[in-house]
Amino acid sequence: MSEELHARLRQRGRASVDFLANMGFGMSDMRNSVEEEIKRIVPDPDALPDDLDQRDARMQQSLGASTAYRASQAVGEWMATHHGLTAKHAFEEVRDEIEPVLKKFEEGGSTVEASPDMEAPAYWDGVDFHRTAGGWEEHEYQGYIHADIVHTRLVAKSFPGGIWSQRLMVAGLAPKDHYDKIIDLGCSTGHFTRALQETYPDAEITGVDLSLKTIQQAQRLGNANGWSWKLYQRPAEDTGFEAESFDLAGSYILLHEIPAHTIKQLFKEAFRLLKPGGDMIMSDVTRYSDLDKLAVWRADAGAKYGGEPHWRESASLDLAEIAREAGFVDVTAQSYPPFNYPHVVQGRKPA
Amino acid sequence: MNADPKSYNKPDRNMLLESDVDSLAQAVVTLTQELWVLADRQLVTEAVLAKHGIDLAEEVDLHQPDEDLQAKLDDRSRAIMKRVFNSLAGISSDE
Ligand SMILES: C[S@@+](CC[C@H](N)C(=O)[O-])C[C@H]1O[C@@H](n2cnc3c(N)ncnc32)[C@H](O)[C@@H]1O
Repeated sequence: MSEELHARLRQRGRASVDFLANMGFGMSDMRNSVEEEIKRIVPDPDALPDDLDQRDARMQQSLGASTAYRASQAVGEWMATHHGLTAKHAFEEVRDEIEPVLKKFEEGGSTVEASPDMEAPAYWDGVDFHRTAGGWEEHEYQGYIHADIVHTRLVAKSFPGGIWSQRLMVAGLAPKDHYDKIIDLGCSTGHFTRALQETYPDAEITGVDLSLKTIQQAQRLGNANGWSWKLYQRPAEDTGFEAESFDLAGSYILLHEIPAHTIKQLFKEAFRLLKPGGDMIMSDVTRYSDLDKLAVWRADAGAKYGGEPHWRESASLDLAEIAREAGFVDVTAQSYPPFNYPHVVQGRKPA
Repeated sequence: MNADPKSYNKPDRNMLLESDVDSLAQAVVTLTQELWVLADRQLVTEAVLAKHGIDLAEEVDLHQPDEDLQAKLDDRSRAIMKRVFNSLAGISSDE
């Protein structure tokens, strides 16, 4: 984030946001106590039920007897319902100072094409992903609030592996040293777009996302850095761009936010958009197949209470197989240590 | 006369039910955050006061903590959270 775009929060907002950023540490005793309890009730993860709903029912029943578990759930619920509100209030305190900066960076080489008549798909419309209050579109500056406050001040503080370096690492995995035209699918506020641009400085980058508010923030990020991104409010699985118009098609943690049938469409669309010989690189959350039954339960419960309605079906997919079905060749899928995160699928459109 | 005036000492009253504890927990955490905002503010005020010898509310509002102060703020917020969360979780603490 360019320094100018980084808000200097006032004390109330700053301290409220810091409070949230420190909650993981504040909850550590409680979490350790829950971990002890889990060890006691699940001596062998393999013995847990195969069916994910039954597995959760079993875990909830056993853990329900633990005060520490119930308390950690209650505090977790508060985090889920309050992070978006806290971020919004912190923004409102500095709105007068930051708004002219935001407006200024809406001018420049990076452009946004809105689609006011677009029919938002049912899997996305009205869903408060991450349980962010009001979803992606409610607040005029939701994209900014999410990028500068939620991501930079909260998520980046404690995310294992670091949210910026992971994106740069993935951008660098694409096989060629140079790409003329890149498309970032589900570009949101432009974190991965930035990693792509920094890795391929001469590339002309197009980004698509269903959320107008997030791509408006990507536009500001692009302009603040002197980049000329073409950003469109369009579904990634049906972009409407001409076939064979890109050299690299990528996405970063988009897939777990869309259902399985849309993921299949998305890979086909990426294939269509690529020039012959073009490269595809899609990264997403840890595959359930890379985790033991207990870890899957944790991820699945995290999704259930964390506003991720499509996570389960998405994380259960074999993305390499879907890529091959879409026509890609030389397909590889790799999960990166130490958390098997991100999971990265790559492939090439035959020349 | 009321047959049992002493019953007024501790009237039977409809108060929280077990099903209310989730909301109670939400309120407790909200309160923790509010408390933290105040504690944070006090620390920042002290830092600013120490510099100038006077109370400057706007300066406190705009004050962006340096690394040392931020580390102190982080430690204190975590300690407060632990005390409240641990008691909520039934974890004894010797603090
Ligand atoms: C987790 S964010 C992506 C993050 C981003 N790529 C980054 O690196 O930070 C997921 C984004 O995908 C968008 N999205 C979800 N379904 C989509 C679809 N079918 N087409 C385009 N964007 C979509 C959401 O609006 C959201 O902005």
